[in-house]
Amino acid sequence: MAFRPTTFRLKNKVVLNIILAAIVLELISGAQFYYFQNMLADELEMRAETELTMKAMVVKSSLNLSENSLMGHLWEMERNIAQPDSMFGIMEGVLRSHPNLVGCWIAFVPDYYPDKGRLFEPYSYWDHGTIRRQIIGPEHDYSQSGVYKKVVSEDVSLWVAPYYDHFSGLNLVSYAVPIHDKKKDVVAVFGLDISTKWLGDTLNYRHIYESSIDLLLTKEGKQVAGPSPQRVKQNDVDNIISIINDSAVAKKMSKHGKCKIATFTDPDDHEKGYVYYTSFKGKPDWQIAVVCYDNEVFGPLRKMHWTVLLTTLAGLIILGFIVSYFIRNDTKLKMTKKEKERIDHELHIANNIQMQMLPKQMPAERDDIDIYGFLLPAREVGGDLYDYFVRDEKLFFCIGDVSGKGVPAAILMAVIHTWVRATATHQSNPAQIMRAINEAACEGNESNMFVTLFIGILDLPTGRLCYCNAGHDAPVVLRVESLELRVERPAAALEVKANLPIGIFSDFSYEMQETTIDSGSMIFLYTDGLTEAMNKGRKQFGINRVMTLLNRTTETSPKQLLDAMSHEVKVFANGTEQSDDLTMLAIRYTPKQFESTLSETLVLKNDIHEVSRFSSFIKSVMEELSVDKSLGRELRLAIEEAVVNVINYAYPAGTEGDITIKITSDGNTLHCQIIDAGIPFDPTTKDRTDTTLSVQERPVGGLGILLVRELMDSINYERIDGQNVLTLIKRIKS
Amino acid sequence: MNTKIEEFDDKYLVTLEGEMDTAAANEAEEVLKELYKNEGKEVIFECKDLEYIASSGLRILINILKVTMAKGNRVLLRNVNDDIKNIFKLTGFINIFEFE
Repeated sequence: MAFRPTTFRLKNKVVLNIILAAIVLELISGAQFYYFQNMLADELEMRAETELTMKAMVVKSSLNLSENSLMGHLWEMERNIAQPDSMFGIMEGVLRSHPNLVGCWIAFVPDYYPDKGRLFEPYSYWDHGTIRRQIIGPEHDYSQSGVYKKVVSEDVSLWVAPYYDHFSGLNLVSYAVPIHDKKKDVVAVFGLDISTKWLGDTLNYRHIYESSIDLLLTKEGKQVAGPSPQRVKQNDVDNIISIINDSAVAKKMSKHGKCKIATFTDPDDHEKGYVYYTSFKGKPDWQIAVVCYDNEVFGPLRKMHWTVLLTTLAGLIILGFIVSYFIRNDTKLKMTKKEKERIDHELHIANNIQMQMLPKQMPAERDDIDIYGFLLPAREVGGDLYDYFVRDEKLFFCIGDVSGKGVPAAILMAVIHTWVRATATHQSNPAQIMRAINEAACEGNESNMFVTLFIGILDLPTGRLCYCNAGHDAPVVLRVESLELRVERPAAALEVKANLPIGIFSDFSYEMQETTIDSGSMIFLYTDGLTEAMNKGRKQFGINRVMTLLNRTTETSPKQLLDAMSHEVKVFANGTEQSDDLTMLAIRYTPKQFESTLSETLVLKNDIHEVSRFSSFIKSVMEELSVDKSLGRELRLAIEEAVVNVINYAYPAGTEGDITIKITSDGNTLHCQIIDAGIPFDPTTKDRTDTTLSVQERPVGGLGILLVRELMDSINYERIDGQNVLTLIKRIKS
Repeated sequence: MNTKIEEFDDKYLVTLEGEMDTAAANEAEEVLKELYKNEGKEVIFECKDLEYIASSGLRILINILKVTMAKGNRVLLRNVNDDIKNIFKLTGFINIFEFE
């Protein structure tokens, strides 16, 4: 099929374009994603920084509270230094105002209180809602601890790194300050313990991301506080801390310079994470870190990106299918259009064939008739027909209408047309022609189409019209001389028997009718496309209008008459679509008088021996006409053959009869009439001889009429008043 | 019209003179009947003086031709004038007969 390659190519184009569009969209989407991701990363950084700052503040303020509380009781401590037992009271005061402290202690320098022993450290602590006292004495030498030593020797307050305290069973951080006596010497270290768990809780009261981890570390990178073990595995925490501490791991500075950033991958589940960390300003010089996991931060964005990508792709694919579908439809439409064009083209050719089947206008040589035909099919091809031709000085004409329109009607009409022509070559009786056609039409007529047909045969020498009608509209005869005389109603419908159309009953007996057409008259034939032409108001043109127009017309030429009539129809229809084929045929009969200057007659008996008399007669006539020898011989032979034919066949065997030979001439043309009163015998309708047959095949008879036809210009037979009248015509002057 | 038949050892020479119209052809047929009995001789028609021939004459010639050819012999037409030749053309007999 011709349209496949186009579809294929077009489909390719479409697919290519969709892929291109997809690529462009993906690129744009990708760029967008990258941009958003960067924005998100920046946002994350800012949030992390803020978080760190805030959490640091929270932790520090908690620590400061404790610090301040301690400092607040310091003067009291120093005032009551002489009374060691009052120490507990003071410490309890501290504890009571800070229930979140683990404990409070004062480590005196050795031997400060002589009666308390060498080592004396009162210790108050919370125990399930109650404050208890303890004296840490000789079994635990606190004077060896680094903290004690530092505080005492350097006289500084400091925060102590987290350590495990056996006594409380907790991880603690402590804050220690020196206590001075009146002489400003360090006499004791006053300290409080804070549980790292409490610090952790403070840290973890909220998270910037659900999976975020907050950490507190010492300057050295030791964990001070972190997430609860239920929430985060210690393993992961240790891993993160090692990342922070490992100087080999690349760390970058945040945009605003507020913290450091490290990227890591969890070794177990390969989750990517980011650590943001910074150091406290001031004491304690701890580090605070917040960890965010890549999945949680960028996950939604990524998901959205993929969603957009995939839905866009899906959308494009669906679009592709829809477009494909429409292309297919469109090409189907194109194909249908191509088909239609092909059909239109073929119909156009068929129309040409039909038009060519119509006879060309009458050759100019004929001066006794003027004839003009008009056929306008309703569709490209039509079911109307007209035809005319002259055979043996008779004008055969017909007009017909097949039931239906378009191609089927056109085909049947072409067949009828051929039949008319074929039958008319050997048949001069229109009824016989009609019967032959009707039989043939009924035989093959499965589609039950019928044809209205009118056949007329006008004998040109005499004006005698033989006709036969088969259901067609009666022709109108227009007495043209009346036009000039302005006689009322010069137009009259020919009197026709309606009969049945062709193709209905195969044995219908059509009968011939006759009339005489006066010299100068016009015969007007038409199909119902004329009378049934409709205007916008659905009114028909009608026979009355036709008759009126014919009665009124001043046209004497068939062409002008038909032009006028078709103009009238056009005006009447006023643009309404033509519903039926419109056909018209007009014939004007203008026989020329034959003014003979010579007339010779011979009467013979129907006896072959009479031929000698004829021979003498014809020779003398030829001489009289001064015809040249060859031509003379031709004429003699033709006429002799015709005469012999009549002698042999005109009268029934055994009967006697006269044969009249009348030769007339106007100097240019010779007419020879052979008249007998025998049985009706038309030599012009005998089958023509086949001169190509071999000796053996040739029948013996038939030569005579062949020679007559060949030698004469035309022959004409008419039965007039019970007589056979055979007229032979030949031009004798060139 | 004159019709003369001369018989030789190997052929018949038929001389046709004048105008063979239908009536004359009938008479000539009687004379030419002899040629139907032809056994093995070719037939030559001398037509130099034949001025006119009608279809019956042609018919006679055809019959003689058929009979003679059936016996395997030639028929020859000699010196046929143009007018008559034309007739032969019109009737298609030009292809059937041999001319000299």
